[in-house]
Amino acid sequence: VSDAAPRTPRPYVRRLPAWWVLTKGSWLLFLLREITSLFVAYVAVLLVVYARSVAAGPEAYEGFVAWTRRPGVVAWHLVVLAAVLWHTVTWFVATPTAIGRFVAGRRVAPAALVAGHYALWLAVSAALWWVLR
Amino acid sequence: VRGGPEPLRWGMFAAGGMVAALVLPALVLLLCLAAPLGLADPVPHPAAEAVVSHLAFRLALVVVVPLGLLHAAHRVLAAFMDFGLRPFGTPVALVLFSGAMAGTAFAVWTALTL
Repeated sequence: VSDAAPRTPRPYVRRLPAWWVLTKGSWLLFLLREITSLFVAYVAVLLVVYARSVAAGPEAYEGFVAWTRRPGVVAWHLVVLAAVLWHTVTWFVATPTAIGRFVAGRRVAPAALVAGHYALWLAVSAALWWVLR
Repeated sequence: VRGGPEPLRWGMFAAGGMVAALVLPALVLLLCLAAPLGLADPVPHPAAEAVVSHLAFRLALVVVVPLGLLHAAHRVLAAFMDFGLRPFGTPVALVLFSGAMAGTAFAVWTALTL
């Protein structure tokens, strides 16, 4: 029996270069997936800005609409759309791992779980189109 | 919450990720791209005002915006950790979650005053 105080376990941290994420294709895709969260935050804030412009009256709303029509802004929002779509795809792909193989006590095939989320996504998107158009 | 704020942070991250996955592509397309790309006629102001002033829209605002911001804060913090910036975890977390809280306050205040 040794007199030494028990050592507190420390988490093992693998040493990697700072650019480790660029050294493998799958890691780069992982980085892109994590970056989509910045675009999620952008759209969240934009939703508030949109609502405020509508509430501020026709002139402010026209200003917002004119801004969305600028070519640079259209290009930027195409990038934003690609990013949030990438978020949706990667999020649904992860659902069998994240939610598990059982829904309401019944075994569900992973592909069925992913397909179910896509169906829900289409329904929600159609409902939003119907409400906001 | 058992185990400190960690389970709550993960719960908000998951809820935000799901809400964002379901509604954000449609919102970007509808609010930012449909009219400029000629996919639909622009929404006239009275119609937009009717949607925005509806109680359901205000409720959606105080759900979607805070969850989306908390999702982003959690994910960016995790990315910082992965890039070997663990020693700066606490200040980075403070900045990210303060930002998410500020955005939440902005959304709640907007929802109350629309």
